Amino acid sequence: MVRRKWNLKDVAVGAALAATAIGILTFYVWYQTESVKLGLDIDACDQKIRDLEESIEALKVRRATLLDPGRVEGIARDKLGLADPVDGDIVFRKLGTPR
Amino acid sequence: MRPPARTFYESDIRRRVKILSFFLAAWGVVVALRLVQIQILGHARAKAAVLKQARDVVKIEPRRGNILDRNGEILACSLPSPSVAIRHLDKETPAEERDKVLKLKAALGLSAGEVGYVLGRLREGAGYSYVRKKVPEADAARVMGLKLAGVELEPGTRRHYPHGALAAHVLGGINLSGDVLAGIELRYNDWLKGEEGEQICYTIPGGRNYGTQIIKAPVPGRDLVLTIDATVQYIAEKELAAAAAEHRAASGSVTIMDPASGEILALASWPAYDINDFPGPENARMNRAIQAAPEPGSTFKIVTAVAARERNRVGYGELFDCSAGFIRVGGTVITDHVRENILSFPQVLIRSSNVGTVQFALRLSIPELYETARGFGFGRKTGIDLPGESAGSLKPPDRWIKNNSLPHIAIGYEVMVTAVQTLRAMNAFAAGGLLVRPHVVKEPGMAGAGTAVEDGDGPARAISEKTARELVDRVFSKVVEEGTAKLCSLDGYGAAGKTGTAQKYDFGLGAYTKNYTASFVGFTPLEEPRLSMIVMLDDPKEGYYGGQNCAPVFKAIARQVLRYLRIPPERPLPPRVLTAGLAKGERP
Repeated sequence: MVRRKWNLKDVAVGAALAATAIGILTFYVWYQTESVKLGLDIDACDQKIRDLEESIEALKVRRATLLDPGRVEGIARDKLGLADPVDGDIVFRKLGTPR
Repeated sequence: MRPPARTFYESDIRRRVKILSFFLAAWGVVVALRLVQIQILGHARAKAAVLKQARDVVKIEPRRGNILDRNGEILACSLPSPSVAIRHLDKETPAEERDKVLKLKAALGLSAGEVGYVLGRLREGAGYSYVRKKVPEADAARVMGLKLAGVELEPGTRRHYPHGALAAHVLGGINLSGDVLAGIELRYNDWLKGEEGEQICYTIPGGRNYGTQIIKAPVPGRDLVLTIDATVQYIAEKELAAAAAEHRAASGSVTIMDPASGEILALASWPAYDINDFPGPENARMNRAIQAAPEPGSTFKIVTAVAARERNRVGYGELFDCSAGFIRVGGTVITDHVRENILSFPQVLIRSSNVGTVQFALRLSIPELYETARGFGFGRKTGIDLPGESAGSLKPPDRWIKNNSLPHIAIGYEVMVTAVQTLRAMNAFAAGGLLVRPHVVKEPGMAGAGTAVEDGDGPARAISEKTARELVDRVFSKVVEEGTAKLCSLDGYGAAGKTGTAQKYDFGLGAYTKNYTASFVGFTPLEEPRLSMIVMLDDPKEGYYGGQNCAPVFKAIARQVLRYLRIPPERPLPPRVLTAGLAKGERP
């Protein structure tokens, strides 16, 4: 059996091609991975924005519930012991008149 | 040269290789044929199965627009509220499915009926079934924490009404299925709802999403600003409920309008319901301000007075003999609630004498009274931007019974009107004789807002400015100062109005009963009217006159609302007597 002798130049070219191919493949995989990762990060940020917007809406509703006129009147009358002013308690002053 | 002969072993290996190759080739052919069967012959079925398992086209619910009061206070708002859904998985046994549903039962508090329904759907192999729609976000988080295969959340929103029952009949409501059934929610549904979007969800065999692709982005609904003022609405509802309880009324309504623009500041109907539990109890659903059309009684005398004055059929100094206490017309007898004496034309209205009103009404022809009533918009819808408005009923002149209908219609019988129609008619006196269109939405260009307009077939002017001013000065302001509505006289502010008390007709009996509809319609202040208001109580058991039970409600509401709107008194306030004393245990 005769053993084939490798040409050093061919080996070098082959190794270079293989290294290039591996490099391209590695870059492609890295690029894809990074793209997906960035996409996921963007999606997470979008979700955070949506969550915060929803929280703002929920807080607005909560505020409206707390400022419900019936609730406010109930607290004023029952907890704070306030009463309606009678007509003379309110002084209407025309603009520009001295105090 | 002849090749060397193969040994036995070499031949055996060759034979074995041939056999193995044959089997491998046969196996390859079988695989290829199977692939042909699946991919080519069964392509459509296989594709459908794969898509069913791995892809879902899901609708994206748009965010519904908010409803705000005139000051920007939130009256209705949509918040995220996902629906819990479940998929049938082929690999799961019925026992596993049952375990899964029982876990959901514990997390969501499902009823036995709901559990049975979900298990039934899973047994049928249903691809997608709702376990519960529109759950609170905390419940949704609890369900997702269970990490159950095939269980997922469908994003959605739920309507919240932070003020509960406030303005229930204006807002209407939405049920859990998302059906819009009443009120502003229904009338402006197209404006509020937005446009549905669509997305593809890619799922792994376990049923979990690993990616979504939006095909069509949802368009959120637009916000809607109402003319309603939440505080004025609250005051109206509070006083109406108190009056209804005090007089043991079956129902009632209060409507408050800005006289110049027709903007409705408050529209209260009692009984009411919490809109978060829409549609609420059946007896509370009716918006009595626009859907109930009873006979109005004496408030309709404003029409008779205008018809007579505009045609100069009666002078302010003319006297009418009402001393008999009754008048016989067209075979029927019309009586007064108390026996009066000789009354002038203004006194007839100030004291709300039926006998006197019939006397000057008989100077009018049927078409004349009809024309005036139509001029005020009776017998047709006011055009208020709420669904389900009643047009009431005003018979055409050819259906009026000779000698009978005219005197009865003149005092507010044989005619059916809604509270808002009556308010609009009285508002013409506050607006210098012009009719405005009542509306509840402030959004420009949506409600024909603001001006003295009619729906096309009617006049913009109901009465001349002169007649309006004279009747207010000589009659309707006196009704409040010294007449049937004395109880609504306000310190510091002038007011004008007319009371009404009508016996209710029982269609079953075919006769009038001892049940009444009481009302008061008026406006305040006199110089520059800022509020026109109607108060109506149906079937009050304690004190049935409009002047007794509705006029005080007008006063109570007007007093608070004028103060809230910072409208200064137009007259000096009566002097107050200040009292001083010591609290218990206090020393001087």
